[in-house]
Formats: sequence, structure tokens, C-alpha cells
Amino acid sequence: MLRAEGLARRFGQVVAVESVSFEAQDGQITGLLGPNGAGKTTSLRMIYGLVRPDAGRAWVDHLDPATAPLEARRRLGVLPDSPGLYARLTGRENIRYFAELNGIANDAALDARIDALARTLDLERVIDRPATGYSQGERMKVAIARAIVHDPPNIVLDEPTNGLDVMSTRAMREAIRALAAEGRCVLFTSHQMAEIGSLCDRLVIIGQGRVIAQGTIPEVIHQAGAATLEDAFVALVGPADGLGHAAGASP
Amino acid sequence: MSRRPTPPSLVVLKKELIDGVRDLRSLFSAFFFPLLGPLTIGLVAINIDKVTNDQEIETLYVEGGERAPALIKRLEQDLEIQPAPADAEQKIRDGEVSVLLRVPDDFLERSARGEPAVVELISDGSKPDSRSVTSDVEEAVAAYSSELGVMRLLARGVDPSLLRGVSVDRVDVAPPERRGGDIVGAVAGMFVIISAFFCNLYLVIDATAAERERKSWEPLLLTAAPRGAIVLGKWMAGLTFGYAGVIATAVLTLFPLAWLDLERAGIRLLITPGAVAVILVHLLPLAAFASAAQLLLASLTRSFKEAQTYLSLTMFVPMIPGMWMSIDPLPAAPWMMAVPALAQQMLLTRTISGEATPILWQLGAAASCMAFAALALVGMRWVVGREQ
Repeated sequence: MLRAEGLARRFGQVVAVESVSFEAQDGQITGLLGPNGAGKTTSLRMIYGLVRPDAGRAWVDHLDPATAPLEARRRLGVLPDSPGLYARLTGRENIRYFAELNGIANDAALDARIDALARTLDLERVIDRPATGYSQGERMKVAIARAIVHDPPNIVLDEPTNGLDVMSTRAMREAIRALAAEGRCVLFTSHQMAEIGSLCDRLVIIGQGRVIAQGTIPEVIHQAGAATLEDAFVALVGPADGLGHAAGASP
Repeated sequence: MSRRPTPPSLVVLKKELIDGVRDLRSLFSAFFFPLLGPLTIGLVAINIDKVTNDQEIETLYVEGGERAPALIKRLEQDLEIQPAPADAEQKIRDGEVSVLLRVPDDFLERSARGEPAVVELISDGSKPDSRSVTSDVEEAVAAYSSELGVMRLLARGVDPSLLRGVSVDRVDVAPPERRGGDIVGAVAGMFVIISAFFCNLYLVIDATAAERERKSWEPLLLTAAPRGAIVLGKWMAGLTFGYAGVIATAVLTLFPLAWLDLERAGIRLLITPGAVAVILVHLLPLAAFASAAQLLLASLTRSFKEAQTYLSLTMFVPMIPGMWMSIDPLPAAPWMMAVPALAQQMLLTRTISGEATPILWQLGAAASCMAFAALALVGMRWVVGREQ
């Protein structure tokens, strides 16, 4: 379970996050939506414990990442936006490195787990090749495997289908559904309305550093008095507002 | 099979070493540098050989030597005397014979009368190898001439020292192994000291600035590994590369010096396996400091190029003591032991010059390096913990 309680953070004069509260439940896929610069990444970073909130608290299960960062991160698997791999290591070595850093012993059980992840993500062909020759999709899938190899109960995926082709996107969606079906809490961001519509159990829309709407997809559409999710999003955020804010705010 | 989890600092160490060994750039910088020392020394060796070759005994051809037996005896100390072949002057022009000394028929007569006797020295001045022979002959003739003059004055009851206005007596108190050792040691030491900074350069940059650039930095910080352990692992990896470079450079630079016959050039160095081992012990704290300081600096930068620029610029700083000492050997002072690189330069030079250094100085040098290293690591831990 991931929870934000009145998170707020400013960088100098710029208010990145004014007040964000939401909850992402175990066994569900929660979508985090918002125009660029709305405060999504900063909110997520406060949940990771990389950025300290000026006000409010974040929760990873029963842990506050601001006070217990290591324990919180052990229960958290993150695919940040534009994740980098180590090009000279193989996919397997990249994944194993992060597993060991998360306190998993380097033994046969770990290798078996990596093999299972490779099977799920359709990486078996390339897993033992140096990452330098990977396609964008292979890089992304190895980064996901790396994020979840330590079996975290909470998973945050920042635009996981960004740059993927159709087949990879489908494989990724299956994998996300499987993770939630295992009882994990999955929080993910995307700009593709169709993807959010087909994947998410719940939705949190952020704009101008605040939560504008949240609930199930029908609830959000109803709340906005719109016909489709995209119309609802535009009605809630407002196109001019989104652009204006994006121009004024840093990350 | 179930194993205990590896401590995160060792996980980072292992990964950085594997990554470093697979990176041709890291590997090249780590193991090309140690070859520079012996290459430089090879050049020096060729020059020393040239100098000492010039001192080989050369041949002087003499015509009428039987007329000046005492002079010939003196010349035989420095040169090989051969009777002149017929047609000697033509042979000099043809370059077959370099220098000819001709003692004229009236040499003994003039000597006996107390008149200045004349010898002819015939050479081709355009040939460089004739010059050292002619100057040897001139020196010998001058010495013989002044001896003869002294004898004549004594025979007439005059004190020959009246002829001397001022004479110079050179006193050099330095034992020969120190004088040469200071300069050769300074240069060789500079190579060894720089290797601690150079051989880990690309590994350090790759583990910090380049990690930011390729965007693996944030995922790394999102693992459950403590920041301190990440810093420690990267430091140990840098230290491993740096110290491996130090060992290679010390062995490849110092031992060839021992094989060179530097004593002919008036230099005596005490380069024994034991001395090299002592030097390597002195350099371990420096390698620890170098890795920590460079990590801190590189972690403050945002890109590979930026880090490379700053780190190559700072590379000159630890070279200063060696360069300074090769020009103007400073007397060692206790405060120098507190300065990383300067202290090791001093210790290294003294070790191969056979000079003892107080044990307290040695410990002080190590303690100072370790303290600065710890400070840099604390600094880097702070940089890593800072908000992105």
C-alpha cells in the first residue's frame, strides 16, 4: 500500500507540489495522471524518500520513507523515468546487481528468479548479452525486471510503456496485470488514455500540484460530466492551464 | 544452495571492478600509465650509455715519442698510445686516424736548455670525436709542463707556490647516492605518485559522473543499499585500480633504475625488493586518499566530460612536489608529512637514497592521508545524500 498525506514541496519560489493526498491499494493498479509539470514526479520522489516533503507524509505500507528510507525502499520497486542500465554488464548481471543491493543472496534461487522474470518479460534470448546492444524495449524490460527482482509488495512504474512497440507494450501490460493479481500494489503513470482506461482499477489526477480528482474510471468520468476518460481529463485539468503550468514550473 | 547476502559495499565493489575491467578506457588508463615510467627511463639509459661510452679509452698516435718518455708516460694514463703510421697527416684528413701527437727532433735539446719545448697536436677539428682526445692531450701536456716548471724553479731554489695566486678546493659533503638520488628519485617518484591518481581516473568517473549521465544513478539510490555502503564500495573499487597501478608503476619504474649502471653517472640508488616493498607500504594510504578525493570531485560533476576536465586539471597538483624536488631538492621537514603526495614523494626519495626517516614521520604521513581520505568520503556521502 502506498499513501500520500498532504504532501507539499517547493523548490525555491516554485511550488512543485501544493497538496497531494491519495492511496494506492494492494492488489490494484492505480494510475497517476497529470500534465507535464503537474507535480507527479516530485510526489513520487517524496514516496521514494529521495525528496523530503515540506509538509505532509508519505507511507510505504506502514513505513515513512523520510524516517525509515532503507526499510521503505526494500518494500518498494521503482522504474524511474528514463532508467539507465550498465551497458557493459549483461541483462542478468544488471538485475543481479540490484537484487544483491536489496539484500538478496547471490545463489541458485536468485538465478532461478531472474530466469522466471526473463520468461515473463520475453527476455530469455538477450538476458545473457551485454546491455549495450539492447533495443529500447529490451532495456525497459530489463529495467522492470531489475525493479521487481527483490519481490517488493509495492511497485511504482513511471511511464513503463514509453517507447515500446506494440508487442512489447502488450507484454508489459500483461506483466503489470500479473503483478497486481499477485496482490501487489501497483502505481503507474502514463500519458496514454487508452492504456490507463484498460489497465487501471483506480485513477488519481494531479494538476498544479494538487489532486483534482480520484476514484474508479467511471467515477472520474462522471465527476467531470464527460463522455470519455480523455474528455474528463481535459475538462478537469484544462488545456490552457496545463500548458501554462508546464511553462512556469521546473520538474 | 542458500548463501548469506553479500554486504552491499562488497556488491558495489565487485560490480565496479567487473565494469572497470570490461571498460577498455578504464583498463587502458590503468595499465598504459605504468609503462610510461620505464619508457622514460629507457630514454635516460640510452643517454647515460652515450655519456659513459665517450669516456672509453681512445687512441692517440704519436710520432717521435721516444724523445719525450716522461710526457708519454703521463699520456698513457688516459689514452692508448700507438706509434704513428707512415703518412699520418694524410690519414687524419681521410678520417682513418683521429689525432696525432708529433714530438719534434729538437724537443730534448730545447728542454735541456730550459726553453719551452713544442709538441704538435694534429687533428681534424671538424670531427667531434677528435675533440675529447685533443683536450685530454692538452690537459696532460699542461700538467706535465707545470710539473716541469716546478722542477726548474725548485732547482733554482724558488718556492713554486709563489706562482699560484688563488686555488679552488671543492668540498661536496653529500654522499654520492644522495645527490643523484634526489633528482632521479624525484622524477621516478613523481611517476609512482601520479599513478595513484591516474590509474583509477576512468573507473572513478564511470562510477560517479557517468553513472549520473547514463541515468543509472537514481535507480541505484532507490535500492535498499545504504548510501554509505555505496560510497564505500565505489571507493574500494577506485582504490583497487589505483593501487594496482601504483604497484605496476613502482615495479616497472624502480627496478629498471636498479639495473642501469647509474654509478658511472655518479648516482647510487638503493633499489632493492625490500626498499620497493617499503615504498609500496608508504603509497597505500596515498592511493586511499587519491580514490576518495577523486570520487568526491567527480561526484560533484554532472557529466563524464565535466569530470574528466576537472580531474585532469587537478592531476597536476600531486605532480608539483616531484617537479619541484627534481629542480630544487628541499630539505625534509615534519610539516611535509601532513601533506598527501608531498609526504610520499619525500618518503620515496629518502627510501631509494638510503636515508632513514623517523618512524613517527612515516606514521604521520599515513595518518594524514587516511584522515583526508575519510574527510573526502564523508563529503561524498553528503553529496550522495543530497536531494537530486
